[in-house]
This record gives sequence, structure tokens and C-alpha cells, in this order.
Amino acid sequence: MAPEDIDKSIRQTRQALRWQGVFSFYFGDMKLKLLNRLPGKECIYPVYGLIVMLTYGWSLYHFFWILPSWIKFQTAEEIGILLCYILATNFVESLLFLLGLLFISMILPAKRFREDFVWRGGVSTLFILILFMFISYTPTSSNGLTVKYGLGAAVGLICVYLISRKINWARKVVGSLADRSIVFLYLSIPASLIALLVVLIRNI
Amino acid sequence: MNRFGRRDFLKLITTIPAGMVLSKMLPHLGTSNPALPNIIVVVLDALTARNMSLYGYPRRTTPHIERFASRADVYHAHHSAGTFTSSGVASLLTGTYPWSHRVINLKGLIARDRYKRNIFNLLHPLYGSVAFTQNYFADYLLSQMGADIEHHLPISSWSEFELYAADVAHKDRSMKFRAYDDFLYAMDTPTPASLLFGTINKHKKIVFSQKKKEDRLQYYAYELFYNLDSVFSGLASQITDLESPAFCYFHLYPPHGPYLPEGEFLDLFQDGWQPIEKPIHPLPYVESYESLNRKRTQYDQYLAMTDAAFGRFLDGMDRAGLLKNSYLLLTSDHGESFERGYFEHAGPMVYEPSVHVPLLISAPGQTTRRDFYSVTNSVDLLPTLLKISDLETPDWSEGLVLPGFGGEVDNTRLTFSMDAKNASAFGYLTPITIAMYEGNYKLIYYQGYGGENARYHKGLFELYNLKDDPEEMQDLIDDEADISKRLKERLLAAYNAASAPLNQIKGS
Repeated sequence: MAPEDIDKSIRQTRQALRWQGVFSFYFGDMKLKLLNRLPGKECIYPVYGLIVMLTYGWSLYHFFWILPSWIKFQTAEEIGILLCYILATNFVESLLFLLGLLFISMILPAKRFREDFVWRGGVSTLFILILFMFISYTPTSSNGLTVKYGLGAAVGLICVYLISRKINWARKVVGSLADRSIVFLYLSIPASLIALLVVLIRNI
Repeated sequence: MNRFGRRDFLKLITTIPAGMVLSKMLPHLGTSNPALPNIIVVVLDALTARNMSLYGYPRRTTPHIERFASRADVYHAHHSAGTFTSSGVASLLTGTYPWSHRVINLKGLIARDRYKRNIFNLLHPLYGSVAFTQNYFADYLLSQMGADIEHHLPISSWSEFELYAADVAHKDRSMKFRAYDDFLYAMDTPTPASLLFGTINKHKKIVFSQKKKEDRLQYYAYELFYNLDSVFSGLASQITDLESPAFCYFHLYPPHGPYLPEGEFLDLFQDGWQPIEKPIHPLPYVESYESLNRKRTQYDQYLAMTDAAFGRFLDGMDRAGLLKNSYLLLTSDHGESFERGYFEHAGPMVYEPSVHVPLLISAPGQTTRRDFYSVTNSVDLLPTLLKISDLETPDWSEGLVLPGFGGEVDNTRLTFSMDAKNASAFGYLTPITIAMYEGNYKLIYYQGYGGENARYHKGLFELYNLKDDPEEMQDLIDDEADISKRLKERLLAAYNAASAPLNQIKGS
């Protein structure tokens, strides 16, 4: 190797190390900071269990409601494929909802959300998803999901926090419900992964 | 109303860019035998012959279709085999009755071992094909026949549409349509089945539809919005660009509800005319005579508006010289009811307003009118189109070539219309209502209905002579005992042969 090539190589290596340092200074630390702001797994599972219970439960309730009609004109294979689409969609929406809660826990001060994630995440899940159940029944002649709905929901959620903080039994109910709903994850996650696989294969 | 004015011309001009874009999407169609004429089938959804002045309705609802009739073959006793879109369209495209193709449920599909038996498949060697429908249940059926259709235009052509079904290029489109549009994001079952995405989507659609309604577009079910003239003009430009021979299936939504007459048509038929009041039927839900008459007037207005748009479409075709080398067929997938307490269609009733539909066929260069009064059925279209193309009718077809195209008038022939939407497509066809036609007689058979109407459970017959009693007011089942007995035997023989579970008559 010529001396000028060796010099060039050394310069490039130094440059690369410098950029690595810069990246690590800004982003390495940030990544660590962000991960530290996430609640622990033992807190995430119960809240995700609640989300799964409500989102999957809602779809499966409708599925069994419409099944007597479907079996009249669709084969078992077709109904199985439809179930795969349903579970895959539930998986995505439940994960997105969980990510939303995790994002809130990252941006809010720890005392406001992260330190009490099961309680606050659980109450938020119950409040928002049950609110969605009511909203989904809104007649199609209405004005849709307006700013009014959103503001009302936010104010309602804050009120629920404030009021229920003082009520110990409410904390216990939400906590134990969330703990028990972990059991749904044992079924929903493997089933959803299989469903996702089927959906992917059919769309490749 | 009859003239093609400056405004109409301007409307037509505005659709030319869309037509040019779409025509580029469509490569020129097959030219295997340029001597063959085009075949263009226009289906207007839920068009009952009973409300058309062409067929003697006292209100002048269809002056432009009458103009078309002056140069066409007009079939006066033509019936749809089904009472709603899926069922009717499947019969039209397969030449078989619902008890054979098994599209008997509102959102049904053709039996999986039979969907290859369709007109696109049979005409494929000779014709290029284009299919377009605004009705997504019909589109769902077209998807099933997708491999046989050369160009399946999306529902969203010349319209605005927010569904998976809007994109015909989607992989696994049929299942996605069923999973998302018809379940997870559905607007009417009774809530969206996806709690988060579905609810958000529902409200997005509500806001979207309110905005579109303000634009005074015709619409259907919060998802499809269009201007009828634009759609017709788009189709006209589409046809202009075709190279012969092509088979086109164009299925437009009007005059299906919601009835949305506009402008001058809103003032039509404020004449106080009232049809005869018929007895309330015990099976369907009941609407009052007054309410039905109000809806009838709106339907008539919307039909007149649809008729005017069809007239402009016809004029465009004529000017382009397309009628000289094309068969043009106008028909409907099913009728519409405004009587006996029953509104709309897809009910358990098969009285004439629900199944008597128009059929007009104009041959290339035809300049005179011919009228045919013998009973025909939508299953006859397939054999007739094959005859036009010098192709053999397959033995599984249940239709016959129409009179005027080589078919003979046979007054002993049986034709059927039926409704079995609450039965299983895979099992015995019950509950079911069947109308059987023989000559002037029409025998109706109800079987398997539960609830309070026990007599409709065991099997109930009604008999009418449509020549003497076109309004079906005089039940002759007891008065004409011999005829009743003979027709009952024929109907039950046909029903028993066709109503067995699908796996027992598989591939038959």
C-alpha cells in the first residue's frame, strides 16, 4: 500500500470514529434515557392484557354474532381466513394502543404516569376503549367524531384520575382485573402471530 | 327534458380527461374476429318494469327508454331470477337459477365448483371483455369471475369511493373486502367490529359523506359518491375507445335507493295519482299505504332522472356510430316493491313489482321495434348472447335462446324467480319463496317460514292469471283446481330436484 493510501485510510478511520462519538454522545444516551422512561415488563403485561381483552373481545363478540349468517354462504376455509384477518388487525390495533400509552409514559413526568403504570394505563385503557364502544354505536346521521367528543373524553379522563385516586377499592379492582387479563395474552399472541403469517402469505 | 342541451354538452366535455386517462389504462381489446359486433349489457339496479311508462305505467317515467325501444326488441314478460342484486346478477351472468348457482344470500358467492360457468368465460375466445359495476355486491361476484374478465374496472371509476373493493388490483381482494369493508369497518352490522380502527373509520366516513352530500352527488351507503351523468359519459367514452369485438357489462346503481332526484325532476309526478291499494302481506315488515306512495313518487322521479341520463348515453353512442356495430341490451337485476306493505326488495315476496324487469335488445343497425309477450327470464341472456356469437349453449345452462334470436315461443315452458336469502347456500333451500311462470299463469310457493305464520311454513300456494289479473289480486288456487294441481306438481318436482344440499348435487 502506498504511504498516501495509508494516510487516507487513517484519516477515514479517524473521521468515522469522530462521527461514532458524536452519534453516541447524542443518541446513545438518548436511547438509554428513553428506555429508562419505559415502565417495566411486569407493568406492561397487565395493561396490554386489558387492551387485548377489550379489542379482541369486541371483535370476537361481533364475529360470533355474525357467524350464523356467514356459515350459510361461506366455507370453513374462508371463515378461517377471515378470522386471520380479524386477529391480525386486532393485534396491530392493540399494539398501537399500547405504544400510545408507552409514548405518554415517556413524555410525562414519571410521577404522573410511569411510576403507577398499571393503575393509570389500566384506567386509561378502560376509559378510552369503553368510550369507543359507545361512540361506535353513534348513529350514522350524527356529525361524527368531532372536537367536542375529543375534548369531552380528555376532560372525563382527567376527572376519572382525580376522583379515583382517592378510592382504594377502584385501584384494587383495576389492578386485579389487569393482572387476570394477562391470561388472554397466552392465547391471543400465538394466535395473532399465526394469523399474521397467513395474512402475509396471502398477500405476498 | 328530451334535448341534449348546451349544459349537457359541457358536462360531457368535463369527463373527457377522465375518459382519456382510463382509456390509456385499457389496452385495445381482442380483435380475434373484427366481423363480430360488440355486445354491451347495461344493467340499471332495482329497475322494476312495473314503474316504467314503456310497460304501461301511467306516469311518464321513461320517455328516453321508449325512444330506445323504437329501435329495439322489447320483452314484455321478462323476469329476474332473484329478488336482490347478488342473486339476480349471478343468474344473469351464469344462465342458471339461484338454486343452481347458490347465490341465495344477500352477500353470497357462486358455488365454488361452478363459478367458471359464466358468460365472460364462454365468450372469452371471441370477445375482449370489460366489466364495471357500482354495486359492491355485484362487484364481489365479478371478482369471483376475475380470471375470465379482461378488464374489470374499479367501482371508483368516475366516482369517489372509500373501500378496499375500490382497488381491483389488491391481492386477496375478495377476502379483504369481506374482512374489512363488510365486517371490521362495516357501517351497519350493527357497529364496526374493530373497536379502534373501525370506530375511527366510521366517523371519518360520516364526515366525508356529509361533505359529499353537500356537493349534491348521488350516493350509496356512505361510501360511493358520483354524478350520474359523469358515470354515463365515462362509459360512453370507454365504449368509443373499444376495438370490436368486445363484451361489456355495465351495471349502474340508479334507480336503486336512496332515491335522489334533482332539479327539474323534483317537481315531476305531483299529480295525486294513487295506485290500487292491495292487501297487506303477513310476511314482510309493514309500511303504510301512504308512506309507500310517497316513496313510489320519489322512485318515479329518480327513475325519470336516470332515464334522461340513459337518453344522453344513448345519443352519445348513436353519434359515435356505435349502435351500428353493437348489440345494446338494457335490463335490471331485480325489481322494487311499493305495495302490500312492503318497500324495496330482497323480501320474501315475489310479486311482479319485485321480479318483473325490463329487457330491451337493440341489434346492430336495428331501426324498428319488435314486441315479445311470452315469458322470459334473466337466465335466457346467456344462451342468447352465445347464439349471437355462434357459440353452443352449455348443457348446464337453464335458460333458452330468446324469441327473436332463434328461440321459439313455448307457452308450456317453466321459468322461475325465487328468494331464499335466509336459507343456507350449502344445505336444503328452505325457507324459500318461488314464483313459477307458465304461459299466463304464475304460481307462487312459500315454504319453511317460521314465526306466527305457520301456514307459510308447511307450504302455501297462490295462483294468478297475469293476463286477466296483472295486479295479482285474485288468487285462483281454489277456483282453478286442475291447473293448480298440475302446476303444483311441476313446481314441486323442480324444487325437490334443485333444493337438496349442495354436496348432493355437486357439479350437476
